[in-house]
Amino acid sequence: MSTPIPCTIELPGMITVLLGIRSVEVTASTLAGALQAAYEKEPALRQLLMDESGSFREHVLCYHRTAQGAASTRWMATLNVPLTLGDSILIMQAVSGG
Amino acid sequence: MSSNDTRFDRQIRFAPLGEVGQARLQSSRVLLVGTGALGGVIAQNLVRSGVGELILCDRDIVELSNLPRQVLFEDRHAAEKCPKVSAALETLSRIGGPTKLRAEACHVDAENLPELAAGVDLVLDGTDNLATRYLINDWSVSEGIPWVYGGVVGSGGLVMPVLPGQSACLRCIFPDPPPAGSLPTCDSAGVLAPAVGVIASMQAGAALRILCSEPNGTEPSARSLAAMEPKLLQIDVWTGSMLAVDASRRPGCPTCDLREFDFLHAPGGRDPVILCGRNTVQISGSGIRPDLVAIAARSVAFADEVINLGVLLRISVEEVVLTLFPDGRALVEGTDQVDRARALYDRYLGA
Repeated sequence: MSTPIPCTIELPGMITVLLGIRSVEVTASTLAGALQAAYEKEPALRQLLMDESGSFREHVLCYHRTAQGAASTRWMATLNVPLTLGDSILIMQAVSGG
Repeated sequence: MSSNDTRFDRQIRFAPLGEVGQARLQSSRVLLVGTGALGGVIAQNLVRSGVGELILCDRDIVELSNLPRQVLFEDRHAAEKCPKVSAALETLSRIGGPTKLRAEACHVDAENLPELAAGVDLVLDGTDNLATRYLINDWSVSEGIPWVYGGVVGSGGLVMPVLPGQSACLRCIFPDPPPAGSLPTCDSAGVLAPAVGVIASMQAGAALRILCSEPNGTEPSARSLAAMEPKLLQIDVWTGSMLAVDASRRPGCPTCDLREFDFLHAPGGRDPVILCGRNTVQISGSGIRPDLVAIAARSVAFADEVINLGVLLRISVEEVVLTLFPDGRALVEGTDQVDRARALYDRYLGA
């Protein structure tokens, strides 16, 4: 198991309004661990992002941002992806208004 | 110098556009779906830039609460309950220029979209619901015609150009529409005019670039041959943040890879039904079960009355009663106008 490192989870505007925070700072060694730590820190976040089966809701996007770019978790086989120093997690959601 | 050259001199001087790009703009035809907040800003930009033909579609009427952010409308349009496309046509006509305008007061659906979009070079998204966006996405990919997604709520939103065959389509990013009521809308969560302006301007900027470019996305000017690389862009005017992520195509995408156009070929059974003698319209949902408890909690902020009976949810708002069932179906009581019922459904039950 790799060493836990600090990671920022950046939240989109509407979740910022609902929770009153723009990001969550966690320490974890994997993507899954970082999200779990964020849910423990901000319990309301889990319901906003996840459905009853534990999957991301249809309108939610979660990107693992690294020095190489951003990868959507939607196309990852597992969230047990190691984090490296400087990585962050970006949450986005579909927007229907216009 | 002709009056046309004089009119567009400053944008022709912008080297990546140039005279070739301007000529392409003026020979282009564009469909704009929705002429409200995003659509109003987009329409102004395209008419002032001199696109050849702009087809405007909207199903709604102008209301007082539209005026802070819907730039084509005035007090009198709201007082007269003017159809949005008529008011938009009036305002845009006053700008002048070479653009030929056509206005269609209708709800865009799978039946009329192919006719409305026939011969267009680009479709622009000024809609207020995801169902129409998935439909536009299907049509766009099936015909190989680009479109530009834009959505706004609160203080920010998303923008993403879709270049069929070259970049992600909507279903590459969001494979399926969320259940009704799962997303905040401008009517439930509010919206700021600057957010509308920024998102719509980004859409209009992408539109100009697509319209004046070579089919492969290369700019007409020899000074810059960089092809367009579409991104999914998230912008927030309150926090001042702008984030872009790659919008690459997804292998296995049902629309752009497997070419299954579910929304374009949806059975007519999902069409709204006027319930005779009841002043009520029934709207079919997406088939995905909505979270009635969550919608009830959120509706308290804007509704006159919210009653959650467990098996159905009743929301009184704007002199109608929306009754939402667990299968996503809704009754809109208090109107026999299908377009108004659809607009209210999208506005308050979202997605």
